[in-house]
Amino acid sequence: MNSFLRRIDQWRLLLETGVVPGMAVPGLIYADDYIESLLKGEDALSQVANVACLPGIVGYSMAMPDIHQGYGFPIGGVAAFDVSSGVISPGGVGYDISCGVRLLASKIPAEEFRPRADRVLAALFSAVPCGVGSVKDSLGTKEVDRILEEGAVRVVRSGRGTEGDIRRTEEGGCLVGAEPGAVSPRAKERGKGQLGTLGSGNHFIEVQETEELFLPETAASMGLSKGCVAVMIHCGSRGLGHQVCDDYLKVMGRAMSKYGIAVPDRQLCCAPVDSPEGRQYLGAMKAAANFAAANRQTIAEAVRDVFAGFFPGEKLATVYDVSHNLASIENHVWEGRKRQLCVHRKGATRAFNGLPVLIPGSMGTASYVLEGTPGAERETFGSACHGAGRVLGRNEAIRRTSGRNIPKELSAKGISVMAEKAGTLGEEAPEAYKDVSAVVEVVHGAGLARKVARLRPLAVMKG
Amino acid sequence: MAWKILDHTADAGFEAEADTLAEIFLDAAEAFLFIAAGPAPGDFSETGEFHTFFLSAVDGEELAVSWINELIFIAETRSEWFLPLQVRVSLSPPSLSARGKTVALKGRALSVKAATYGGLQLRTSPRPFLRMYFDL
Repeated sequence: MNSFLRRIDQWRLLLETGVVPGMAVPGLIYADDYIESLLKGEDALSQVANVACLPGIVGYSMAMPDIHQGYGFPIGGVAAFDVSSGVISPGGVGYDISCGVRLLASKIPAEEFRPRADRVLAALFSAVPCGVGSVKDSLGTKEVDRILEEGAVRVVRSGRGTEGDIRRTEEGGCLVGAEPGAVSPRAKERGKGQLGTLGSGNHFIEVQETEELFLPETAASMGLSKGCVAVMIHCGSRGLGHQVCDDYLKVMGRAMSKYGIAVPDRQLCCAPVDSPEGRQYLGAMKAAANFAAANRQTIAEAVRDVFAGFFPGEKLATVYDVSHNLASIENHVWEGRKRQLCVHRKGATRAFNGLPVLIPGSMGTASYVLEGTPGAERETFGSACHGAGRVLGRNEAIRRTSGRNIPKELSAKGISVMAEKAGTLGEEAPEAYKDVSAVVEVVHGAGLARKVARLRPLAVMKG
Repeated sequence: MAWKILDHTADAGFEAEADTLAEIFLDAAEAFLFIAAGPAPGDFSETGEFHTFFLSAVDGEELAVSWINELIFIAETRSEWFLPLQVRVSLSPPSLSARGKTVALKGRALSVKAATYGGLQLRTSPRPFLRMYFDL
């Protein structure tokens, strides 16, 4: 596989056609030497090649520098399909539809937070449920439908949030064209008890300090102040989104023969964008994305309530809220021609010119705020990376951290940590991930996004 | 334990080989419980309610995925583990009936979110074999 990789420049690798039969376009992987060294033996490259076989793909099957093995698509994958001749694939969005990041900024000095870190963390743990059966008041079916249709707007209109939250959420926190009717009763049942829950695995709430400003004016316009506290929330559409993905994998698996589509990996099953199955999935996916936006809005409000108890009068304003698992119908110019495309970003963030790009690091390492550029719009359909990207499997991470006291190690760095499950800390140890600064350097160097600010963790709540 | 855990960069999987398809599906449920809840998921000696369900699918692979996803659905919507006591599996047509008891999940975060088709393999000969990865 690696013999098909050819370095284009310091930041880019080309995966030539021919790796697997039927590649319609080459692969383009954003990677420096460090990222390339981590690709050895990774199934992710096969997944980049498999995506290149899908009908109607435009340009390249791309992967961002946080690339690692996913299902069907690699994590970090970006692929655009012509709306008239291409496909939409639930596997190109992922199970956790519209998993994403919300960043809140405050003027609270980090030194005022530090002495309270453990108590704030414990309060966050009480205020934001992680798991199943932990929500006291589950939603009725009608309310689930309203949330699927209106997203974060529904939460704000019920008094939980501000208009500023909506303005600073991707697509205003409500994807137009969401179809609650395309979401199965089974998915809605899963969502009823999960609004405002964090989930498990790599989902987290992290209190951070804005440590360094690379573009001070831009950072100021986003509300970020050096030395002050910010809060990052990472979660998605929970079981509801997973059920939508599972439901439509079945729908599309059955429909492919009707459209004469064959895929090299069952997880890549798909249907034409402009088909009943494609339109139905798009409507259901948008509805699930609205649920995810509402979920992050609900959690943001719970975080604000907690902070109000410790820092009365201080505000936590939304910097931005952006998804990194989504397919979106967008207009782009490709090879000099205006095209309407269905852009799949699976573990990749929309990076339109001037919009914030939020890049969470691994537990105990920095996170970044970037800004999208015209370069991304020209080259990657307006996309950048979404995080550090795993480098160790969960079992391997647990094996390597066995016997270590990770909370103590993080505490020595001035980071408080609490997790729902003790095992999560081993799975999510910093060495399980790539160096986030190196990942960000690649997208910055390649001109896909500019560095605005770096944030360091002060307190981490893991699901 | 008739199954073994498989590594995945972001997630986890298992593979199992057994004498019958029914045993493979029981192994899958056990591996799911292990990965979702850890080696000591709780005290299941308490009396649970008996529960029966039926599934059908277009093929054996979809049936295997649906089986685990049904266990996840029960866990998420009822806050209960389904502990299968008996499973009957047929591939012509692909269908399954399961009888077991449910016990309280007690508010734990469920670390397995879905069974996937990625890397999925179900063989019936020479011996029944299943490989499956979970989205965590």
